[in-house]
Amino acid sequence: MRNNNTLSSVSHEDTHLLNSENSSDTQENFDNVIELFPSPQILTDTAETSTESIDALVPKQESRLSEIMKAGAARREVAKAMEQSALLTAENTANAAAVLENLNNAIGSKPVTTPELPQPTNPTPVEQITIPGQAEKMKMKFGPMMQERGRVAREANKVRSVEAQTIGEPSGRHSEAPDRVSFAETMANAQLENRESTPLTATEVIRNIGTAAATPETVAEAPSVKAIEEADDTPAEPTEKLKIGERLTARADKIPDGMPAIKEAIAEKGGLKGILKKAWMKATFRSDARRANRLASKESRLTKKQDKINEKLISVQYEKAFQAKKAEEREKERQVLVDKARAASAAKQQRKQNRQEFRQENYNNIRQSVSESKIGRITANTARTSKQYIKGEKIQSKPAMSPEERAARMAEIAQ
Amino acid sequence: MDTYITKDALLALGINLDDQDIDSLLTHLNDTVEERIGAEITESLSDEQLQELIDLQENATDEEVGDWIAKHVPDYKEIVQDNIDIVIGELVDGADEVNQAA
Repeated sequence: MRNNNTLSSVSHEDTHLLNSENSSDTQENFDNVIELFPSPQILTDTAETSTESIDALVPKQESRLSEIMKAGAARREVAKAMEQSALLTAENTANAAAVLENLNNAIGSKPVTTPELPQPTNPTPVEQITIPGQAEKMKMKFGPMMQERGRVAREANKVRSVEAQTIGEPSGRHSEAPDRVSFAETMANAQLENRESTPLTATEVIRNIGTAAATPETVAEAPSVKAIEEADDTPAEPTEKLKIGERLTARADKIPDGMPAIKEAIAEKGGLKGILKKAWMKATFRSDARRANRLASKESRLTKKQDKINEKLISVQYEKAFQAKKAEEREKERQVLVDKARAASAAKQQRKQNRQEFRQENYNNIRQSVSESKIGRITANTARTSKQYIKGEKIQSKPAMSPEERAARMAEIAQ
Repeated sequence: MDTYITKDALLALGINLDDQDIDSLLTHLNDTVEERIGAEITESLSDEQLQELIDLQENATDEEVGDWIAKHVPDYKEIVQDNIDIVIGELVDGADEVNQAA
């Protein structure tokens, strides 16, 4: 795909040939011009010496001059085209290589290969650089965005062209280039603008392409009200003013119907300042009220917390007091039981002692009765063996003795 | 065996044990009370009364034995109550040790 309409489409061979001939031709043209236009001093000198020959030379020199000028202009054009072509080809080569490298870096593992890598001696124009598979990827990734931007640009250009036709003034570059800029031209423009910059990454290149497509040169925005007002300041035609007025009227028609009523209400209430002041006071009051409510609720929460803590403390203290009281009561009960046990033990001991005493007394009584019976038997035997008993005399009964007498008697008997 | 000391009485005394240990402790305490009551009754009886009681225990019912004891041991109620109080007093003195041992 070679675009013969662009400067970059000039082949390298032609450029080389033109470039080699350029220096000698330019010098020759310069010499011719010097010959045709000598310095004023030389002309004066020659005019004074040979006025006749000048009249004969003028037509001849004029024709020759016109030929030389034509040839020089043609060569200058060719030289200019050649220079631009050389610049473009060199930049295309460098930038294309940088783009490929960046694309390779961006793609990662799979390197991008080109069937015909650009050679420094015979650089390939940027339109001819093809990356297998990459175009589809780029198209899939950025195709919708580019199409959308192109569509916007086309619509904007259409609007501008219509406006330009209506207003009667040229609308700048948009009217000159209503159609969308081609990819190659955008690429070339971007490269020309960035010729001094370092090689761009693939993302940056793509971004530049998108930016170039979205720049005001290609994308037209709808005129805003401000722009219309600025245009209104400048002297304009009555028809233009009419159209702007219509637009403003159209915009004003979109204001809700309730707006005049609101304005009247504002006026009735002392103007916007008064209303704002009242609103501010109300808002302040509400804010203070909210703050007060928040503080109150916070205080309430804290009070509730404090109450709960107090309740807990009270319950703990009550529990402690209850436990202490319980322990005290238990200690008292324990003391009562201990006292009771001591009393029982004492009673038991007393009973034991009573029993021992009772037994001792019984023992003594029994022993005494036994002794008495022995004494009686001995007395009877003694009496029986006595003379009186032998003589048949009855023993005289004696009166009962007292215990002391009885004891004394027993002692005598024992002796 | 008569129950002289109950579980509630132990709990009221501050004895905190599990059921098994409380049952064992109750058995031990009631045995001790009964033993001491028997010893004191035996001590209070004469040889003849004791022989009679032994004969009665072998042949008569529990009610007849109880009636005989009530008749021949005038301090029987005091003996029982005093021995219970003594055992409980001993338990109260050692309640803390019992709880710690548990």
